[in-house]
Amino acid sequence: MTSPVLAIEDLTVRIDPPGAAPVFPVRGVSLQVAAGETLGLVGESGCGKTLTCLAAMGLLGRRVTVASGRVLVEGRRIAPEPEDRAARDLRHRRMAMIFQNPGGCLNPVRSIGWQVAEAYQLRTRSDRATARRRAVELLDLVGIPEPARRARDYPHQLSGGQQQRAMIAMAIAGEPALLVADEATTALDVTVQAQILELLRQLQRRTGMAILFVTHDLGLIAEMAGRIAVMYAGRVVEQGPTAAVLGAPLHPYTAGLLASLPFIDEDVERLVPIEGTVPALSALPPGCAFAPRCGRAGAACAAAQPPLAGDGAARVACLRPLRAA
Amino acid sequence: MAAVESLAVAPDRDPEPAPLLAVRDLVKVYPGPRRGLFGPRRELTAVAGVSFELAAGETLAIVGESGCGKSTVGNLVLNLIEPTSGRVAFDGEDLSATGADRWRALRGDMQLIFQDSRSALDPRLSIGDQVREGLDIHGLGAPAERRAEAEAMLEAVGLPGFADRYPHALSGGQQQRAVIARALAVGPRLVVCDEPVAALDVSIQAQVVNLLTDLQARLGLSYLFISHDLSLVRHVSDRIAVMYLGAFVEVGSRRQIFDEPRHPYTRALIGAVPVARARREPRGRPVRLSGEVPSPLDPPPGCSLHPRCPFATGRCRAERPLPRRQADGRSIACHHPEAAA
Repeated sequence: MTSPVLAIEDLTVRIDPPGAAPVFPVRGVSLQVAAGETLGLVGESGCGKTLTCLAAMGLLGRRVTVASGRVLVEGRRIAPEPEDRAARDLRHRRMAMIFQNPGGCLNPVRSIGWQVAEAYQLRTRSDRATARRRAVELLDLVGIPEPARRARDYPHQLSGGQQQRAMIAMAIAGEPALLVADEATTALDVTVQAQILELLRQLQRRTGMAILFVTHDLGLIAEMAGRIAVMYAGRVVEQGPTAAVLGAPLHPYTAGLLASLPFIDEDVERLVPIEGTVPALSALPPGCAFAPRCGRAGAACAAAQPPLAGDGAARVACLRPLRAA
Repeated sequence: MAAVESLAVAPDRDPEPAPLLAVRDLVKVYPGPRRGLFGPRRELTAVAGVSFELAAGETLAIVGESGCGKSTVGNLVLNLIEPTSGRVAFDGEDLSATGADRWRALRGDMQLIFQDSRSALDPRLSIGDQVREGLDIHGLGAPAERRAEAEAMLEAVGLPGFADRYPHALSGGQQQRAVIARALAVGPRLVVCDEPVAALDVSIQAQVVNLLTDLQARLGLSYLFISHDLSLVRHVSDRIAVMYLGAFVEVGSRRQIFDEPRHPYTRALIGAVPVARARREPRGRPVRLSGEVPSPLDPPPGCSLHPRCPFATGRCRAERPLPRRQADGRSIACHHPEAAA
């Protein structure tokens, strides 16, 4: 097996709120994404999936830090941050991220052609004229009609779907090895979302980039990712091939999520909700964080956090999984 | 006599029930920006002639993508905005000429549940007081009993003992339950649910959806259910209206819309929803739309879908298709409904 493009090793993220005890929104997360592969990271709001992405990009802030563990991209350390030129260089050239809200991520006073050209120039160190030309080609590639004319448009002149395409053009300029997509299509309508997903798959086939695809939507994961990692309250609770995890989940939380969803091609008499709510970060139970909501939990579950165990492909962090891993 | 009895006991089972809500040719046009600095003012047609009926105890869903006008329809039905033309009749009463006093009384019969429960609740009033407020306004029950009434309603939505808490102390799912309690406390017959669970996490969504369906069965409510989430709509609705650029393109039963969609847009919309489990073989060819929804300021002539539709012909570019009742009872606004099948 070749070395992965992205390797997150036992990552713990710490937040120091002013005047309060530190909390740990990401706890002992390990993930790997190989070239040409898409790993789906799924979980509900507050489960730590976005912070895991930001840590992977080396984008944590002053009060949000890597407490332990490390992140490697193409075998070189990104986090904890080695603030030298080489690391910054790696981040600029080999990694890119797309966000949920393209409007907030584009510069309102620069044309989109200028912004895509800037991204291309940073990655490739090319001259401005080449970058400008390449920007138009990239806008064409992501499916913006009349790219030469639209390159002169400002973000507010574009629809939400086109803004997202422009951001993808910026992200893939210079062909990064790793693309982190954090709820990249959540704000889009389904018919436009289908177009963007197809675009990402095409680009991946062409460039062989690794994609870390983060979403709360299990359906999206099923369409995009070959492997899936399910997060709950800061930990990966289950990981494995997407078809296996969604078809026959091991962890009660994964099974609970699936049972609580209505499906478009099936009549369900009644949805089965997961009772209770996600525990607060400041009041995490000592054992398994899901135990208070879990119908299968026993005394041992409340006592100690189960490790993520199992063979290489399918892994589950549960003392009483739905079947043996 | 037997027929009268069955009508009284289960109006939703009657084959020809008088509709609780009847909407005819509803249109809403907003003044748009000018074309150029001194040019003519453009018009934005948010709702372009929508007609439907909703029976007692029934759920009709309006689905469509953002900006299609589905929320505007809900607001027009409740007279929160004034229609440009068209009529809304509630329980046989024409609401187009209704005065403010009558509307105040009607509000007790017609309630609304929004997506954003945080801003729908008053941060400075306890949950119990907010539920009670509706009872006070509509003069329901004896004043001394309203407090107990509000507490009973909160218990019915799964918030026992929450009456003295304030909105900030509640989670998102609990806030939405409080909004539901407030809406249902005044005993409405029609509830417009505008994306009621879109802001909630999936595991919480199921709790609120189950609550809505349970309360409907218990209280015989009619829901006008507005949502972009097709899987959810399949789960909660009896009938579905699919909306595109201000008009209904297909209206049919749950089975017709989801198992045998016929309008190209319905087919594309359902085909575009990603599913977590292996999808059953869809009937007919999947439809892929190109491009994006055009601006309602500048709608295409003819059929509004024609620039994106793979089956469009010259007729689609020239002539707007009107909804036509099909042999199986559904209605479709398309010149070539057989092309997509």
